[in-house]
Amino acid sequence: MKRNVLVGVIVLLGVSVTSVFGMESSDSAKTNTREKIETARKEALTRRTQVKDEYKAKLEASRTEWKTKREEMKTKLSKLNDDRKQKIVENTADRIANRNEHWVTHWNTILTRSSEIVNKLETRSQEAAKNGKDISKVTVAITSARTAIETAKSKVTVQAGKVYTVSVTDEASLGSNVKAAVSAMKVDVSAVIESINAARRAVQEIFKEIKLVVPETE
Amino acid sequence: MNQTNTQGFAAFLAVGIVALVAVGAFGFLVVSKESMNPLISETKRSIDQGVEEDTAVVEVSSSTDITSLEKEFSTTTAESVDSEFTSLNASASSL
Repeated sequence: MKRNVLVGVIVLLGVSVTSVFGMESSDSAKTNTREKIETARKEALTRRTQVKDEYKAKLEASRTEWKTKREEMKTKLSKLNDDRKQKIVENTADRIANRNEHWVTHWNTILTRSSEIVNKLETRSQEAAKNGKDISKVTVAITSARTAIETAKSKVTVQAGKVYTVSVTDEASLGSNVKAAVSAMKVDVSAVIESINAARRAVQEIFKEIKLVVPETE
Repeated sequence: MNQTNTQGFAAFLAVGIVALVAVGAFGFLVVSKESMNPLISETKRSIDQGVEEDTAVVEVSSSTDITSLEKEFSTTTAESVDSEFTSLNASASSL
């Protein structure tokens, strides 16, 4: 009886130790993957914080620069005789500055939202990978999208630091000078929008690839 | 007498082992359930991320299904700038 009990205990201990080691090796692999994901996430977070800080600093610097240049412009405008023209130039210059700030804030928001969506798509693809699905094309698309988003964010940051001033010399050239400022802004804004559209196309590519791996109903 | 002691010891060992296995199985079930549930993992990740980033500005839903994410992405578009430039040019033309 005593012998049987001892054999039973040894067998149970053996089974427990084997299962514990099995769990540990499986846990170790999971821990490595988690650590890699965590490291990548922290690096992305650091980069994002740097870009965000740079963006805020540029925006603040451009506000200060605009205040100074606006006063200079107003002084020059006050020397002109036509009050109507003075007001139009002043209002147009203000609108240019306001629009630029509004747009860079808006673009920054949609790019951050796009980044969050890419993060979620990555989580979804990792779940699919755990179920044995081949996510290599999704991973490539995610990397491309992240690069495109970062490129667009950098352009938005540069745009945040831009100040468009209207050159005031005489009444006759006011119209062409305002058009020149508007035109310069349009060129820059078009370039930023093109990079945002490129980022958008890159995110759409992830959706295309992930749908081939994860059915929409899942 | 000796046989009674042996039986008592065996019963004690059996109860101890059963209790240990039960505790281990319960712990294993709890841990594996949490790590296997993508929603719990995702929520935890989001909470950690939220605390670390301090970015409550951008609101993205907690949904992770592809259809919802695609709908969300379809509304994440850059607004049109054309009308504003037309208006600014019109102001310049009036000078």
